[in-house]
Amino acid sequence: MSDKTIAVFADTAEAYEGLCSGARALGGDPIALWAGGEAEAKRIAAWGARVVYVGEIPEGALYEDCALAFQQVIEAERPALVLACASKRTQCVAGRLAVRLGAPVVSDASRMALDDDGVETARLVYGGAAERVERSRGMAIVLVGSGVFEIDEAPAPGAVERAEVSVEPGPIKVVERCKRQEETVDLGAAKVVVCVGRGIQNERNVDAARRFASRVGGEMACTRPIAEGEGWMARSRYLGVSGAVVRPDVYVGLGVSGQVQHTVGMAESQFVVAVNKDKSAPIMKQCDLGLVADLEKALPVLASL
Amino acid sequence: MNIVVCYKIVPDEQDAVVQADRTLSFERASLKIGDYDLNAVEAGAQLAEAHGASLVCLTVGGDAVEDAKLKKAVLARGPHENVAVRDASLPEAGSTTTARVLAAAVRHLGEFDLVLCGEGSADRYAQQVGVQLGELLGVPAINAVSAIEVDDGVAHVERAVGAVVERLDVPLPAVLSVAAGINEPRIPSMKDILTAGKKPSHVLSLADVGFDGVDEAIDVVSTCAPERRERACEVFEGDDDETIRAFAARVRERL
Ligand SMILES: Cc1cc2nc3c(=O)[nH]c(=O)nc-3n(C[C@H](O)[C@H](O)[C@H](O)COP(=O)(O)OP(=O)(O)OC[C@H]3O[C@@H](n4cnc5c(N)ncnc54)[C@H](O)[C@@H]3O)c2cc1C
Ligand SMILES: Nc1ncnc2c1ncn2[C@@H]1O[C@H](COP(=O)(O)O)[C@@H](O)[C@H]1O
Repeated sequence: MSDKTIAVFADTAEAYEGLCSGARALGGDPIALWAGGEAEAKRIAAWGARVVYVGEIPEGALYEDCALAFQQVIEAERPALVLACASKRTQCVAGRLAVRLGAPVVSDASRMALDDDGVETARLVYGGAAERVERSRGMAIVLVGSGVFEIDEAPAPGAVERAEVSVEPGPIKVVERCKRQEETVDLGAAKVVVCVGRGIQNERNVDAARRFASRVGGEMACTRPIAEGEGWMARSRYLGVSGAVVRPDVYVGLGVSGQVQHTVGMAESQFVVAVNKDKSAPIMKQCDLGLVADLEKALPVLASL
Repeated sequence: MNIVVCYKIVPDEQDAVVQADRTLSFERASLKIGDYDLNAVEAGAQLAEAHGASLVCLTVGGDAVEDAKLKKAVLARGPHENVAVRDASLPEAGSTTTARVLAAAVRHLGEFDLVLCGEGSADRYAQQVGVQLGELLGVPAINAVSAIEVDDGVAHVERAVGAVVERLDVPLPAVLSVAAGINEPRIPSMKDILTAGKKPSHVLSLADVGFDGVDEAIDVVSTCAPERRERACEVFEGDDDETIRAFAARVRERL
């Protein structure tokens, strides 16, 4: 076995399978830091990590309050690298750890390599217009999306150790917590993706696009403003640098301008179709087949295809 | 109440030119205020209007922070005063340095109740500066904030994380990073832009804010445009039935 340890953390137990595999792929031994249920600590150990368990999140506290406990564990274990599964919550924990440990954070790394001096990472910058490779001097905190690491065959389960420190509630109080009624979809397996942008203009047209998608056996997707601004579709359906990435056989963009933040999420499609009323929209240079026309005219024809 | 809102000026990535060696040239790029920072400015403006609070907008960067048009553009959106920390090293600064310079600048400004940041900067989108800034200032910090109400020294905020919506009480002073969907940034009127030109604006140096450097333990190795796939770009033009049908027929071949 290697002599490097890699501390991993996430705000859901499932994410540890990928993180533990990733730590091993980087040539290290995973130490899983976990704040949450005890049963989950055992599940995480089964993915081949020694689990350092800091206990449950106290009532009224946030997951993010685990940062101080994690800091102490990391200072004691002195890992070569800290790996975390990217989420709003781990972003907060990583930022606090960064200041407390004097370590840099790399958000949304898409690949990495570890050696004795530090970690080399790649991530998108300028909204996806460029990929930046960076090299840390010493320990860094690297956040990765799910799916960056391949799942390996886990070695023997690790032990669960109760840490000396526990999660203490911070100054921020949780008053209420409720589930959001929003679908979560995985567009990864879709062969055809019909993607609507702001040019779709209204929900009636979104319905027409939906009819088209179901006739051709496609999944619906959208640009970020359709999900975040208009709220016409679930957030899990928007493609791009801050959304999902798809590689379908056919991508059909309806009223999508094709700005780089979006095209990063569909650039690997086999065949790209675009309808846009503006001939100079960037997507017209990034499509295989395009139509410069008003969607009001084009949608009925497509919907009856 | 004193509110500070942090915004970053960046070159517009749409104007980036890919060079032969795949690096990007921003030489002819226009400058813009980070898209998501405008949401933070709007949130600050709404709170300042509701509470009669003072609102200072703060940016740290290179010469771009003195761009007269952008200065007006940000001040036209509600802030009362603009403060910029300028240094040639700042455009390339990572989260560690940026957060530390911002912390020094916020301290330099005096007492504050609330610091607002955007969801992420338009160029780096690390989503780190807000949290790190809070930690450096020794105050609570939280991200993904989708609604803010301030009342008696507490910010009552809503926060969407994954499939959960949380309502949190955040004691002030605090740093909040707002989600992009929190509001629709206003489009300033001609009058807003004219009055913006009369609002105070200051440029400070790193020494002015008492920042004497930090070792950012990470170096950039390269920044290159990814390879793009070749596309056929067969484009039909026209709203007439015939063109649309011809296009639809070509689409069908693929499905
Ligand atoms: C840090 C950062 C991260 C981002 N991440 C993402 C991301 O992950 N995903 C994402 O999608 N965006 C993202 N964005 C936003 C992105 O920059 C663009 O603003 C967005 O993708 C544009 O969406 P759109 O094409 O729907 O809208 P617009 O750019 O407004 O384009 C609408 C298009 O519709 C056309 N149109 C209008 N009316 C009609 C009509 N009647 N018929 C035909 N065509 C019509 C117009 O010509 C135009 O080209 C991000 C931005 C930033 C700053
Ligand atoms: N150079 C800067 N000047 C002022 N504010 C900044 C700067 N860089 C980042 N910020 C703020 O921090 C937020 C997060 O930035 P980042 O961590 O780079 O994604 C941005 O939305 C801004 O509000």
